[in-house]
Amino acid sequence: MLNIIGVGLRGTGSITFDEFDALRTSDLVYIDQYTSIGQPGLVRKISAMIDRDIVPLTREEIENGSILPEAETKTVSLIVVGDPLMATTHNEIRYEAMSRGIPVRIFENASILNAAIGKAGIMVYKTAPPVSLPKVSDKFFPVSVIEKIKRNMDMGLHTPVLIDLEDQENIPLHDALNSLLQMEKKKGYDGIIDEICVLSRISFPDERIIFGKIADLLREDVRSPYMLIVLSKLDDNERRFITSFSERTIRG
Amino acid sequence: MGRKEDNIEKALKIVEHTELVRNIGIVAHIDHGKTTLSDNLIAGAGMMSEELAGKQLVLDYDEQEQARGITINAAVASMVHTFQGKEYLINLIDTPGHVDFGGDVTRAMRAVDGVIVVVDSVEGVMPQTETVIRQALREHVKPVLFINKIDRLINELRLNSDEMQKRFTKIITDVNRLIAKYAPQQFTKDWQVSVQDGRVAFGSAYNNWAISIPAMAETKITFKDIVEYVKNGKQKELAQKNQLHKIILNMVIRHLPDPKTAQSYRIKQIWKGDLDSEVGKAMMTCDYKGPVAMMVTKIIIDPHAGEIAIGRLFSGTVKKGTDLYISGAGKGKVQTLAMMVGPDRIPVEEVTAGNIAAIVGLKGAIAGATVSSLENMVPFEPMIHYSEPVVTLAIEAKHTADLPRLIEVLRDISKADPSIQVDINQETGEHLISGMGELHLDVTLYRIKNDYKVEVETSDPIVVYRETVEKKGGPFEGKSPNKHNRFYFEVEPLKPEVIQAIEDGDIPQGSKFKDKKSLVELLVSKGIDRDEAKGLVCVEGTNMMFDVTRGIQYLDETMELLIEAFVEVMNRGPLANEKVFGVKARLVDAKLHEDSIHRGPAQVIPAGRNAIYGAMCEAKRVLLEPVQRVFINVPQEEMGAAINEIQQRRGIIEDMKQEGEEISLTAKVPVAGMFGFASAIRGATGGKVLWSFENAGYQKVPPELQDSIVRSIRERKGLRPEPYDADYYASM
Repeated sequence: MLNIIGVGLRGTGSITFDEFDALRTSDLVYIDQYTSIGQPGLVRKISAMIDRDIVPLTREEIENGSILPEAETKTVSLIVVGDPLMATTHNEIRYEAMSRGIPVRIFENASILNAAIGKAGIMVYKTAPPVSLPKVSDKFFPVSVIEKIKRNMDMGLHTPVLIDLEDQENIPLHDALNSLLQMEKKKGYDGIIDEICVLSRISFPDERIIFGKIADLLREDVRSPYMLIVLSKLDDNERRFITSFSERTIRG
Repeated sequence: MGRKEDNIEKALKIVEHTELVRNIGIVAHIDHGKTTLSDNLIAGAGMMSEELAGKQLVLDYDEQEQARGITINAAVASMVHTFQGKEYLINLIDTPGHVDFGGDVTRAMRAVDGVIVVVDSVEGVMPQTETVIRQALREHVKPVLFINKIDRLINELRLNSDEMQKRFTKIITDVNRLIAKYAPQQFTKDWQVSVQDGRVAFGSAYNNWAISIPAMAETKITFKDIVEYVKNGKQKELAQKNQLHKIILNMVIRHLPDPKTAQSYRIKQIWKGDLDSEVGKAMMTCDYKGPVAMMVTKIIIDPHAGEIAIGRLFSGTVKKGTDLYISGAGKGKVQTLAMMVGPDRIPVEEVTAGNIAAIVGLKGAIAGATVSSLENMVPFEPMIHYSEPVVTLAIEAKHTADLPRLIEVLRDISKADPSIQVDINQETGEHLISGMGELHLDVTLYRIKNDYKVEVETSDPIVVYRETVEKKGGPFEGKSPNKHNRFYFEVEPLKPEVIQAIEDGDIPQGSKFKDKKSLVELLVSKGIDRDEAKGLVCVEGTNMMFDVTRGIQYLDETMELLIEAFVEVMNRGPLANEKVFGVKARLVDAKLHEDSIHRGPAQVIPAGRNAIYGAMCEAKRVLLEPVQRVFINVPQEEMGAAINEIQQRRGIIEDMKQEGEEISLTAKVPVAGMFGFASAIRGATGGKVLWSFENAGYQKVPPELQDSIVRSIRERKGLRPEPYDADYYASM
């Protein structure tokens, strides 16, 4: 038996009753620390709550499905921060488990994507599917990121942007914004990104939501984890909401 | 010394009159008499005493060159010769004939406009004769022919004048066939050599005489007379009447082009900038008033002066004290300017277009660098120099304190001789030095010890192997660690004519192609399918990667990473982590994750690598070893010993000829078997042996030896003894 358990965004506070039961009755409990970042002390707190050891998994261990053989004979739970099936990786594990004949139970939970859209005050109807922004280099400079943003803009849609991790932290905001600007330049899309909403540590005690122009945000610093929403044209309601719900960083 | 400087004095008066200048080289198969010819020309022109010429070898100025009796560095000598009442300046660049030093020959060709091809009349056209003719013609350098060692035909082979002429005809026909094959199209006819028009001379460089048809018309001497002179031991007399340097230099002046004429057709070949630009026009016309445009063809590291850059000045005037730009290395000041006379540098105030200059002060210049008064001059085409090292050894300083010095020396050496490659073994941290043969490394080590005075310890030399595949393999699926990206590669052996074009430099290395269109045409002409040719993405060594997929979204974003995977595999083959040779890898399909973060370097590079490795496993991996063609001359009674020596070393006798009492053998021997050959063959034949060799590419290691050689290389490199198989790469 394999339980894939999303624990939401609020640490132990967002673990549901069903999830608590599943965890308490598991033979083995693992946590994915590579696809997303949980609240500080999360592993310790859940471990104390369910009175079981929790084993963190590396990226390789998740990708090569090393927990599956155990799930053939035992009840194994895999904890995922946020919602469990937003990352392709977890569907891959689910698929592998099913093809081995292992029963799989999914415990859905709140995702950062829904939370971010809601907390920013923009409309879900006007929000496109997310794109990820990887750490770029000479040899890896995927302009499809900006192409997707541009396509969304053309349709009047906002684009949630998930940020690559390096040493368990999102790459710095400054670098992320610079990558976007370089991609604009390379594609000849200069200036298409105007306003951005930065959402840092959503549902953490030190949550911050910052709204401003990209040029001004370059001077900002936020703590990891964070994500961006590249904003298309805001309608009146959205603008009223976002300006009230966030710190505004429009200077000069 | 007096005469020498006198000569320089005269030379300085001529340099500005380009029609009176000739830049020439002498090329030949080893031991066909190139250096002897050079020395006698120099002696004749008054640069050294005639007595010494032929014995002293002024151009072989490295102590060890003389000790070994071979020429290592291409040195330059300038000489003055009077022809039809005018004084001409001839800049002669001596080029090494030994296969181990092939790199220098190619570079010297850039500096000259004409060459004297020397062929030993006894041996005829040899494989290396073909190589050097080809190198000259590729650079649009015009040839004339000197058939040497005629006295041996008469005294040793006892040929009469008819038989001699038959032999000459054969040599001339052979040479002309090569010219027809390799000359630039517009010259295949014009550059044919013939006896009648005086583009062929005969003689004995050692005995200092030569003849040619125009000269014979003047002196009324006949072939019969020559046979008589030689038979009767009167070569001295012959030499007085038919001075070698006069005949040869007359031929040079009459038939080889002056710099201005040559540059009008050579520039297009060696420089791809705009011919209508100021510097383009100046070079096409060899204008001394134009911008300075010089190509460095050699760096000599002098213990006192430091780095001396020697090169051909194609336009402008280099003046002492001026600043010049060096491609890729900033700016340098011309501190000392000189013309080279063998080992001597004669300081001058300026050198003008069309001449060869030696400059101290261009720090950072390397052989091949473009030097100009213009900051952003388009550099000259790289000199085609594709000779890969076949032997390597580990080197360390005997005293640890010398290590920094050794590193410095190794850097200097690889700068002066780009065919020496210095690497650091990442696992052991030791320095590896690779060269064109055992002798090449011996010579280099000698320099380190004697010129640079660093005491070193070295490992035994190790052969540099190559890996390839025997047939087609794949499509093979390589998965990324997250399994969301899949790449499908096929591999197969690359066609020999394509490999040749890479080795010749017609197909450039890397993945940024300046003129993709004409490259595609070239590939098509070599038999590659047009659609495939258009998909060329990378050339690494003698290997090529093509993308033959269509319309796969986001593939372009991962292509750089796939190139990285390809380059990695080509440098670390699947059998023994040796370099890969002559493999074509085709990307035939790919499945990519929608989101770029899931197809970054950590995902794509391993996926590409596994796909290519796996396809190579399916294509039957083969280990290649370098081989050398060995030419041996021994008296008949020592033949058995020589053959035995070859066969003990896994050699195969390819050809055997009898010339009088002498047997000449041609054999193909793996480099692995050639270690210590020099002293062994000398011992086996009681010293009565003359031998030479050239690198002859790679051949398959015998199947029964492959596994054990692979295992020993892997163990030496600290890898697990057995190479991985296709299943392993599929499961990754």
